[in-house]
Amino acid sequence: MDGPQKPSDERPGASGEHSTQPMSPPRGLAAARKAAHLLTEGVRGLLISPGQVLACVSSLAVATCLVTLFGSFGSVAVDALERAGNRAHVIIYLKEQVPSDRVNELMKTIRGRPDVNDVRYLSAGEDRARNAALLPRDLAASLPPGEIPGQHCIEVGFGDASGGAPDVVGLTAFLKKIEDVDVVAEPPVGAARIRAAAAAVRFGRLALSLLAGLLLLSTIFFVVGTLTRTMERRRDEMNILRLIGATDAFLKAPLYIQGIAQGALGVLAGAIAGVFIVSAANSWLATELAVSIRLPTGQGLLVPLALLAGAGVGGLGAFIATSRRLP
Amino acid sequence: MPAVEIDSVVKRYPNGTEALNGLTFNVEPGEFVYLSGPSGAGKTTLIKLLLRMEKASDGDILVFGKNLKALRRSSIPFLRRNIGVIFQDFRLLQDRNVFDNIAVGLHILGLSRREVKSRVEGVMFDLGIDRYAGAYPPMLSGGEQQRVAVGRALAMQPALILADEPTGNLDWELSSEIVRLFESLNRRGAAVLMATHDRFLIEAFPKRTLLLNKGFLIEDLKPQGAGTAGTGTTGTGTGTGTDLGESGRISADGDD
Repeated sequence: MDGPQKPSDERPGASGEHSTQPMSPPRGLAAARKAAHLLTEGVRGLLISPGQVLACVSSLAVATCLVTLFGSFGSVAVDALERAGNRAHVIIYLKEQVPSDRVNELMKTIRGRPDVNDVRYLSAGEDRARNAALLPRDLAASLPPGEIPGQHCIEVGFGDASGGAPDVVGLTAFLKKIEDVDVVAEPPVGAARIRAAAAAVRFGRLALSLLAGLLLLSTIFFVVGTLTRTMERRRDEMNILRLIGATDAFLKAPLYIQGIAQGALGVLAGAIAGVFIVSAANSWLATELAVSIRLPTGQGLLVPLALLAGAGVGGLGAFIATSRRLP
Repeated sequence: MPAVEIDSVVKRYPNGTEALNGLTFNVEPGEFVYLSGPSGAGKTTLIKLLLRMEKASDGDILVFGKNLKALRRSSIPFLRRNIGVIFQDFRLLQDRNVFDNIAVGLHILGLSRREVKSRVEGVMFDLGIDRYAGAYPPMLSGGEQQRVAVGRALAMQPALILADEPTGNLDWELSSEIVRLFESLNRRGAAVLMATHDRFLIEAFPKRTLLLNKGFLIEDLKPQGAGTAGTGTTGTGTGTGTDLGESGRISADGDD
C-alpha cells in the first residue's frame, strides 16, 4: 500500500495513518474529559427551549415556596396553642390563716399527682401585681393599690406526663376537697381542648405540607416535558451520535445534567423566596403579636436540602423522560 | 483477519420480505469495495447490518473478527467507534459549525481539547475545508457538506469506512471528488465499503465491485490489474486521480 506523503510543518495536527483502533486516552482522564464535555452539553440543553425551562424552574420555585410557607406558618398556630395549653392552670386561693408549712405540705401533695405539671406559690402581693397587669394600664394606674384584689394562692399547671389530656374535672374536684382551700378558680378553657386544637393544627400543617409536597412532585412532569422537548429537538443529533459510537450513558448524561440543574435552580429559588417571606413576616409578627415563625428546618440546612431535593426532582424527571423517549 | 466477513447472511423482515438472501463475501483490511445494484438490491440493509442497526435473521457477520450476532447491546457503540459511516444525506448537525461537526465523535472518545483541536484541524486541512471551520452546514455546498461528513468519519481514524450512496445527491464533479477522498482514506489503510448504484462512477474509478440484486450477490467483480486490496486504484475518468499534494492535503484534482 502506498503511504501518503506525510504532511510536514504546514499541516496542523497529524491524523496520519489509520490505526485499527481509535486511539484512546487513559480511562480516568477520558472519563473526566467526557464529564466536562457532557456538562457543557447539559448546560447547552437549557438554552434549547429557554421559555419552557423558565416555566419549569418557576413552577418548581412556586411549589417549593409554598412548601416552605405551609411548614413555617403552621408552626405559629401550633406554638401559640401549645403555649396556651402549657399555661392552662387552676388557681387555688388559700384561706388567709394558712401557715407556710401547711402551704408547703399542700404543694407537695398536689405536685405528687401525675396530671400536674408545676406548682407555684404566689403571695398576696404577687397575686395583686399579676391582677394589676391584667387591667388596662390607665385603669391600673388610677386605682389605689388596696383596690386591686390580691390573695395568697397556689397556681397549679396541668401536665401531660402520661401523654394524654389532663383530667381537669378530676383535678379540680380533688383541689376543692382540700381543707384550707378558699376558692378554686377553674381555667376559662380546658387544657384538653387547647391540646386538641393544637393537635388539629399540627395535623393541618402536616396535610398542607403533604399537599405542597405533592405539588412539588407534580412539577416533575414539567421537568419531563422540558427534557422531552430537548430530546425532540436533538433527535437527529442523538441518532448521529449513536451511529458514531455514543453509548446510552453518553446520550443520557446531558439530559440528567439539564434536569438536575433545572430542579436545583427551581427548588433553591423557591426555598430562598420562602425564607425571605418568612423572615419578613417574622419581624412583623414579633412586633405585633409577640410570636415568631420557625422554619421547617434550620436555615443552615435549607440550602443544601433545597439543592438535594431539587436535584432529586430533576433527576427523577430525567429518568422518566429518558426511559420513555430516548431515541 | 478480514475487516468484514459475511457468511450466508439472510435478512428477513416481519412482513416476509427477504432483503438479503444468503450473502457471502469478505472485505480485507485496506480494501476498497463497491456495493452496487439497483434500488432494493439490499445495499443499505447490508450497511445497517454492519453497523448493527439491525440484526441478521440468519448467517454470521464478523467485523474485525467480532460476530455481530453475539455482540451485546452495550458493546455496539464500541464496535461503531471503529467504523466511519457516511450517508447520502450527509447527516450533519445543522446547529454546529464545521469544526464541531467533525469533533463530535472525538468527544465520545474522551480526547483532550488539544487532541480534538489537533485532529480536527488536521482533517479539515486534508479535506480543504479549513477555511470553513466556523461555517454552518446550511452555508456550505453539497460537496463541502459531504467533505465535512467524510471529515467526521476520518477524525475517528476508523479501520473501516461504510458509505451509503455518498454521491447520490451530488453531480458528477462532486461525486468524483468524493470517491477520490475515499481513495485517499483507503490509501491510509482504512477498508472502504461504498454502496452506489452509479455505474459511471464505478467505471471511472474501477475497484472490486459486489453486484447485488434482490438480496442476492450476483457477481464479485475485480478490476483488471487490481490485485491486492488497498492499492488505491486511481480513477481513470479524469485521468488525474486523487492524491495528497505536497502539503499533505487531500485534493480532488491533485493539487489544491
